[in-house]
Amino acid sequence: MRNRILTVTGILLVVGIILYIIGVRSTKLHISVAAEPVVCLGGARATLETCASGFPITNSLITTVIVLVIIIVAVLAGTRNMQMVPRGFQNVLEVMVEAFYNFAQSVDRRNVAKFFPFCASAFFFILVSNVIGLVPGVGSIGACVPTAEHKETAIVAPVADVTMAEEPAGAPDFFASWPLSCEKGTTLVPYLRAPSADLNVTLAWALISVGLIQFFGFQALGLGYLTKFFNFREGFMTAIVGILELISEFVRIIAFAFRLFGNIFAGEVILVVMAFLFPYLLPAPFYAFELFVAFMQALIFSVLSLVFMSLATEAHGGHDSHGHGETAAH
Amino acid sequence: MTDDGLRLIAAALAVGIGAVGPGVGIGVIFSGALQAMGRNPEAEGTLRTYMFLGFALVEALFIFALVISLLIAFRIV
Amino acid sequence: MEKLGINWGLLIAQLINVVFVVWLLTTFLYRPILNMLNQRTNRIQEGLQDAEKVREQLANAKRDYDAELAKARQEAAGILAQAQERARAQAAEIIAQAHRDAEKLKSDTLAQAEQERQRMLGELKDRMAELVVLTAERVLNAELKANHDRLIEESLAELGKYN
Repeated sequence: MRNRILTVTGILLVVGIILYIIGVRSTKLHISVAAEPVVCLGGARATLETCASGFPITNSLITTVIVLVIIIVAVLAGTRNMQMVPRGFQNVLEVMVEAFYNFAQSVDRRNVAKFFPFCASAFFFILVSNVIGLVPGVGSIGACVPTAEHKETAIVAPVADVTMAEEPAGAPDFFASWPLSCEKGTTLVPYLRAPSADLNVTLAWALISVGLIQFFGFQALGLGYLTKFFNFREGFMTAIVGILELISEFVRIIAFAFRLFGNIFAGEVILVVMAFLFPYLLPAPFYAFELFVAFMQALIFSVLSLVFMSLATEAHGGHDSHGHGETAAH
Repeated sequence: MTDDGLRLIAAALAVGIGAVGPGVGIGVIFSGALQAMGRNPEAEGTLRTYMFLGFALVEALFIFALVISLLIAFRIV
Repeated sequence: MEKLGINWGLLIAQLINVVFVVWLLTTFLYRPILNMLNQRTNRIQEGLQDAEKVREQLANAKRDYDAELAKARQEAAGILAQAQERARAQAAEIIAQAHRDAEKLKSDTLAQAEQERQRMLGELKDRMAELVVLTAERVLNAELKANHDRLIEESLAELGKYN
C-alpha cells in the first residue's frame, strides 16, 4: 500500500516535471480582490474590475445563482416525497439538519426555533459556496479581457499581474493554440468565482445577521434592549462599556464580512500561488486544508450568529439566571 | 522607494504584525476551552458558546488589521 | 469601496439572495424535515408505548390462558374420574342384574320343571290308578269286590315307593 502511494506520487512528479518543462503551466498570475464582471449588463466595461455603466454581472454573481440552483435541486430532491422511513438523499438532508438543530439546541435551548432558520441557512449556503470555489475550473476557466490601457490604474492594484521572467524560447509556439494562457495585454476573467470570496456576498450575510441579532434583541427585551448600550445610571464605567458595546455591534458587521471573505479569498490565493509555482501535486495538500477551512468558516459564521443572537436576547446584568455570564462577554 | 512600494510594505506589515496578537489569543482561548471541556464535559455547551464568543472578539482584532491593510493597499486612506 | 469590489447594486442583489435562501430553506427544508422528525419521534414513542401495551396484554392473555387451561384440565380430570366412577358403578349394577336375572331364570326353570314333574307324576298316578283298576277289575273281577278299596290303596302305596 505504502509502496503504491510512493510509486504513484513518483510517477506523477516525473510526469509533472516533464509537463512543466515543455510548458504546460500558467505563466501569468492574476489575483483580483474584487469579483470581476463577466458581462456588463447594458453597459461597457471600464477596467477589469468595474463597469463604466450598466449592471455588472460578476462571476461571483453567476456562481451564486449556480449555488442557489444546487441548493434548490438538493432540497427538492430530498424533500419531494418525504417518507416516514428515510431513504437515500432524504436521509442525508435529515442527518445534516438534525445534527445542526441539535447543535443549535445545545447553544440556546429556549430560542432555537427562532434562530435556527437563519443560522442553518447561513451554514448550508456558505458551505456550498466555499466548496464550489475548490471545484477545478472555478477561477481558472474564463475569457481573456483586454487590460485597461491606462497603466497607472493597473499599478494601483497591489496584486497585479506577475509575469514569469522570460518564456522558454521554443515552447510557447507549440502550445500557442492551447487555451492555457491569455495573450499579452489581456487578462483572464474567470467565469466562476466562489461567492464567499466576494465582499458583496459576505457583507450581505453579515448585514442580515447583525440586523437579525438586533431584531431578536428588541423582540426579546423591548426597548430595554437599548439599555445595554446607553446605561448612564450606574456610573461612568458602565456608560463607557455600553458605548463600546454599541461600537462592537457595528464592528460585528465588518468582522463577519471580512472573516469569511479573508479566509476564503486567502485560501484561493494560496491555491493559485501554489499552482503557479508548480502546478502538479504541490496544491493537493492545500486543497485538503482548504476543504477543512471551507467547513470551519461556514460553521464559525453560523455559530457566531447563533451565539450573538442568544446573547442579545438575554437580559442585561445578572437579573436572571441566563444573563449570568453576560458580564464576562463585555 | 516609490509611494506604491511604501504602501505595499505598510499593508503587509499591518496584516503581518496584526496577526501575531490574535494568533496567540486564539491559541490561548481554544486551549483554555479544551482544558475546561476535558475537566468538565457536562459544561461543554456553555463553554462552546463562550469559546466562540471569545474567538470572535479576538478574531475581530485581526479583521481590523486586515481591513486596515486592504484600505492602505487600495489607497482608500 | 469600489476597489474592494463592493457595488451597491450587487450588494442589494446579494441581500435579496440571502433573504431568498433563508426563505427557501426554511419553507422547503427545515419545516418539512423538522416536522418529519417530530412526527417520527411521536411515532416511535407511540410505537414503544404500543409495544409495551401489547406486551402487557400478551402477558395478561398468557396468564388467563394458563389459568383457563389449568381449570379445564382440572375439570376434565374431575369429569373423567366421575365417569370412571359411574362406569364402574354401572358395570357392577349390570353384573349384579345379570346375576339376579340368571338366578331368577334358574329358579324359574327349576320351579317349572318341578311343577311339570309334579304334574306329570299326578297324571301318571291317575293313569296308573286307572290302569291298575282296569287290570285288577279284569283279573279279579268279582272276587275282590269286598275289600278291593284296601287293595287299591296298598298297590298305590307300593307304586308310591317306586316312585
